[in-house]
Amino acid sequence: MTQDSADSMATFRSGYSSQLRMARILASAALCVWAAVSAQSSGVNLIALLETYAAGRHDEAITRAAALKDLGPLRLQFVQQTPAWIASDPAKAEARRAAVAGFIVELAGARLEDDWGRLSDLIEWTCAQILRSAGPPAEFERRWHMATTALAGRARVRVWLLGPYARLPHQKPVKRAPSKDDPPSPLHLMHAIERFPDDPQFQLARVVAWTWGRDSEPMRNMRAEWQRNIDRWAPARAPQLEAIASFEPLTHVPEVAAESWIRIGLIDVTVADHAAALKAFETALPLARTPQLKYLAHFLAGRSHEVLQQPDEAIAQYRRALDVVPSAESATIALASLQFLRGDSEPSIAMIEKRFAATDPSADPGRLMGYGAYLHWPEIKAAMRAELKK
Amino acid sequence: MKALRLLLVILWCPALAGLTADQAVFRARTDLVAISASVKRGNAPVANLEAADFRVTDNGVAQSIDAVTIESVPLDVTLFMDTSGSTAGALDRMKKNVVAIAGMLRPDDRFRLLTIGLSVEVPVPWQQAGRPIALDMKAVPGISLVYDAMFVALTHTPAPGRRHLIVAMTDGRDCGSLLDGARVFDASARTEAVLHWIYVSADADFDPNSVGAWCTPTDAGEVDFMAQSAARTGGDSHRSRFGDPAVRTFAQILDEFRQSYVLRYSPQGVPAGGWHAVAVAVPGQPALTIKARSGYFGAR
Repeated sequence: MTQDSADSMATFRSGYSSQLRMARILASAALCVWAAVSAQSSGVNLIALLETYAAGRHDEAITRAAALKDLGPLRLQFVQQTPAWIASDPAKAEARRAAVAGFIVELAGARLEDDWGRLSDLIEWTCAQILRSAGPPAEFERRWHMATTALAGRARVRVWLLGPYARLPHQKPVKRAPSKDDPPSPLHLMHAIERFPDDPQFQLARVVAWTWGRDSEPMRNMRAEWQRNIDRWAPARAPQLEAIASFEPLTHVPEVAAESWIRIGLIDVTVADHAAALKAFETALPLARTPQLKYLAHFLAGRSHEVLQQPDEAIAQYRRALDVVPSAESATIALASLQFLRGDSEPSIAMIEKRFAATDPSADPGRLMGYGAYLHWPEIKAAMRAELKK
Repeated sequence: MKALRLLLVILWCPALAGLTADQAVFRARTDLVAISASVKRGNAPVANLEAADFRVTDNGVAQSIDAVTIESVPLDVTLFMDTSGSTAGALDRMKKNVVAIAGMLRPDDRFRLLTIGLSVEVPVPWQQAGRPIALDMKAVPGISLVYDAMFVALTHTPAPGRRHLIVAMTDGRDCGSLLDGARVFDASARTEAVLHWIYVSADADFDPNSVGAWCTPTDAGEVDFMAQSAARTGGDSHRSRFGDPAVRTFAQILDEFRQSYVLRYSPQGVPAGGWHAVAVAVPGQPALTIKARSGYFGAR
């Protein structure tokens, strides 16, 4: 990722005239003055934040940036100043390019809930202007695209990722000319797939994103009346079944097999085939490599057992889920509610009191399963940072 | 018996027992039923009623009331603030409301705050009233776990000698809960708490730059589970707005709760198990408005 410092010095000594050196120094000084003046007028010093981030003090830079009340000046500086900052030191250009990209995606993560719409355009600008234009894809870019895809998952922006007329891999493309009424889309994920066509995570993300926002998404609660009447809705829900055809090849790819089975099971839930859903979740379990996926396999199997009127089996699955992620709220509430309504109130109450007295509970996979790769956000962010250090 | 123990508020009245007010009240017997009932004439609580003034039926069978008290016991107060996208525009007013409401409680009361993020959150865990509140509230759009939060609130059991009041400030629109409204309604029959719902509107303050929602069809618009659950516990539904109006509404609820009666009886002439529908009346004054728990689950 970063150039070796000895190489860069050698290049500097042998390839630059004194005039060029002076010009670069003056340009750097001008950039600094410009940045300082700009920072003074807006209260934001983006270059200082980027320097901090590039120095490996990621949390410090992101915390300071995320605390800004108004993102407007930072957004402006980002577009105006980052290309010059990257170019001002060719020896560090690659590292700075990565730092700019990492910074903006982490800031978007920190301000995701309120400001996704204010930062997603900068993510796409970074993708086009900073990364994709820099040459062949590198490992950092793969990690970065995974991070951006994860954040887009929390925002559930199918069109931003896939475009307005997205098709699954096995479906014929829609033949229609673009219209001025089409919602704008940078096709962010499709660009990632172009750059990394063999990456199964992007293939999985593509199918998962395709399912969002359709009227046949899995419900999270278990209202019996809905479940009884869901057959009436099944014809309208059939489009979701299309995704299964695209998930099935991925069930043979070890990196994504477990999650593909879990996603298949969730689609089975949408058409009220809870027996099939249960089988999918049970198939996912031995394939699951991460605590999140193991948890989901148990937890969702418990949900299926509940709908199938098998409360003892549901309780057993919820307990196994809590063995994997002990403080997870979803299985705690699911298990406690079953016990409470059976009249076993004391263990139920104790479980709820213990969970909500925890000062730093783990992220709950059961609450994140509808947000695509955001389920794995901490690991994805860590992997991106690891590439920054190389 | 566990279910019954959970449901029955069995508190010996200090006045009745000749105890001083600061002596602990306690649950002593599980075959006693305690029903919380507020009695009002118009908007004014009615005091000085005695056992003979009330008529209580349990599954339609008239019961002999052992004691009627107005409890001055300490309270556990759960305040639920809906910080989902539909109410996020009022976040600053919500924060002020929390501080103002906590300030209304007595030193021996306890207070906690529930909110909604990607999960049910407890920004203020149980703490003694009067202590400063360290408030970290954030609105999280795209999800609204009202039912799950209500279940968490309802499952709290106060220590012996205390009563539990839940006040939920929400528009009642659930999105993404694990539990459905029917299950919350069921849970409301098995709790000691009295739930009041303050309907607060969204102020139509959505930010298009925030994340979108994942809301599949829910119970919203079909059955008003929040209102039904509140009524079942002996609480009520109110309409207000975040800010000073919500604080005034809370003050009214708190005042009414502190002045509510607790009617105690040993069930006679009815099977112990299953659902016991309870009706409370003051036959001599039919114009009074009575809000009381609608029943309880007996031991299996």
